[in-house]
Amino acid sequence: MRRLGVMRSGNLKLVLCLVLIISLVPLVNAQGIDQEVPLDPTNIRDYCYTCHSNQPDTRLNTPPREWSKSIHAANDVTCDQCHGVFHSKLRKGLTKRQYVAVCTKCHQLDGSAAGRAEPGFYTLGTQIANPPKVSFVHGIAREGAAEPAVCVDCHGAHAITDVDDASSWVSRENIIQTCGGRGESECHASKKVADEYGISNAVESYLRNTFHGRYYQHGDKDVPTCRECHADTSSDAHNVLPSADSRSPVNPANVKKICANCHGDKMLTAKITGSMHLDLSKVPLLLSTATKKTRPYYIGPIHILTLGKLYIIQTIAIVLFIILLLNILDLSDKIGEKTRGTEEEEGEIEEGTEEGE
Amino acid sequence: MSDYVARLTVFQRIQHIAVFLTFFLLVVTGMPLKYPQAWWSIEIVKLLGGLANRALLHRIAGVGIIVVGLVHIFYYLIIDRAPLLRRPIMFTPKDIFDMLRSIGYAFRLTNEPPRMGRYTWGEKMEYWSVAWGTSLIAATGLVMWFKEIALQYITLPIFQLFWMLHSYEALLATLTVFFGHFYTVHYSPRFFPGSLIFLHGRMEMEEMEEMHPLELEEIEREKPELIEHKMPMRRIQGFVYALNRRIWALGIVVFLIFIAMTVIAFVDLFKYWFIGV
Repeated sequence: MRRLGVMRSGNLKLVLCLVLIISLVPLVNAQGIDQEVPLDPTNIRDYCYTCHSNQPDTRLNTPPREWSKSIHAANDVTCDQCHGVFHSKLRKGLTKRQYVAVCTKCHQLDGSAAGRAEPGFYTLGTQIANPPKVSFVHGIAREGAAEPAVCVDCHGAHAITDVDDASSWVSRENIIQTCGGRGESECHASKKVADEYGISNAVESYLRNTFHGRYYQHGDKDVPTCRECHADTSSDAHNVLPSADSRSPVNPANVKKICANCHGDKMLTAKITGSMHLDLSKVPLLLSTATKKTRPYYIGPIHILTLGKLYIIQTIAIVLFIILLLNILDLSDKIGEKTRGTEEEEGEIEEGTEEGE
Repeated sequence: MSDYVARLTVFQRIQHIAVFLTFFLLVVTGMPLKYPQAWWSIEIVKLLGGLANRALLHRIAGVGIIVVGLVHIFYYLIIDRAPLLRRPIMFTPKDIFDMLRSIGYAFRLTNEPPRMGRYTWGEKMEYWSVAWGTSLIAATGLVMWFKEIALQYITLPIFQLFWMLHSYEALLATLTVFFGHFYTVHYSPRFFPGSLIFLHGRMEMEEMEEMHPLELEEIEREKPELIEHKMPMRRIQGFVYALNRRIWALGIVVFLIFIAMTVIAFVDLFKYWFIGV
């Protein structure tokens, strides 16, 4: 209302300003990030660096610092190619949809443009608009769920390096943390996400309940991390699918081949059922009342690992009650005996000296 | 000078030493893998010289304790052929009453401690815990060692159960030894800094009268030659006695420090007890 009032008053300055802004609109391309920018990339970088590199604010200078070490910097993929040149449009960063659109500009399935051919990227790019029934699991926004993971959630936005580089988010050194969820995104280390998608808290159970994860924490260089089992890195690292999908490497029909990669051909005939990602918090202490019982873990209503859980209780009970309690009670007895004993000894000595005198 | 009763044979003493040496090696090499997130875990592996050494030492010690167990079984099956069920180590109904009386005595409900024979109920429980625990850990340990073969016959969930049993039986054994057994032979004001029975196998007469009165009566009646009138290992035993007279109270401090240290070492792990294997 107030604004209308101002306009009616015929404020000449304001009208002139509006005219000026409107006349600039054609220069600011309406298609935003898809605009071809006929500027020299080095110039555009210097232009961005004016504010984003020379300021002490880390929110401003972190992106260019990370980018300068990235594989994109090495290949002259500059700020404008992802962000465009129009600051006002992109100052709050890209949305998830925009990320997909930006990355797939170069990283196409057919490999015609720069970058490697990654089927995962392709399906991801098309899925957001028209999600098919089953495909790349991270590309599917499941019903009632928040947005799925997109390229940058796993690869980072600015600090993208080669997968074999230790600083890469998807390198052996960092993949556990990345799958667990970086920054604000809660992923496979989050109980919330685990419950929401009906999956296990994968990072937690990997680190605690597999020898792989325990050796990993000790710095072992040979044990598998997420990607060695869940993505067939030889053909397509993006082919992460639910274990129920027959194309997934961890599908019961395929998983023995994955085991055999490290454990030898004997694994091809091994009885691999159930899940490597054990979540003992879901194991009932007595009989299970759950209606849905995962087949290999139940004998009737009894969960196989219930016995193991009862063993934990036995451990606590024996140590606390029998040993600690009885020992501490015995302690008072023995202290009494000891102090009494000293008094008697001293008494004897005193008597002895008296007799001697 | 008090008398001593010869209670443990050389063979028994050697077995005990072999068991505790392999046992400690197993604990030290095993626990870092059970609790990789504990602060002491990485340090221990470093001390052992890396993960490969840890695994190798754990297997060597495991084979060692299995060998001791097998020697033990074969000795008492083949060489010492006393009828199994009538051995003094077997539980009898009397042990239940002894146990109740011991607990009652500890809680000051009765003034009479139980009169026990060759082995007290606690010693029998310790022995059978070791027997059961070693069998379970050895069996599950072998399954985990030769997992590629084992998985041909058992499914992965069963394998995971075996792993869990291995892991928690080990924790149980460790805590039982460090709190239970160590109290009775190390921290207890009567023995601190330690009983030497494991070396010379002789028990003091007063201790015999208190712990094993029925056995003492039997020895006096049937084998009086087992009663010796001199202190065994005179030098060392005399030194330990003298030390005990001066610093017995330190044992209580060490016991409490040990409990505190264990709580500190495990405190951030307690919350994982129900979700970790």
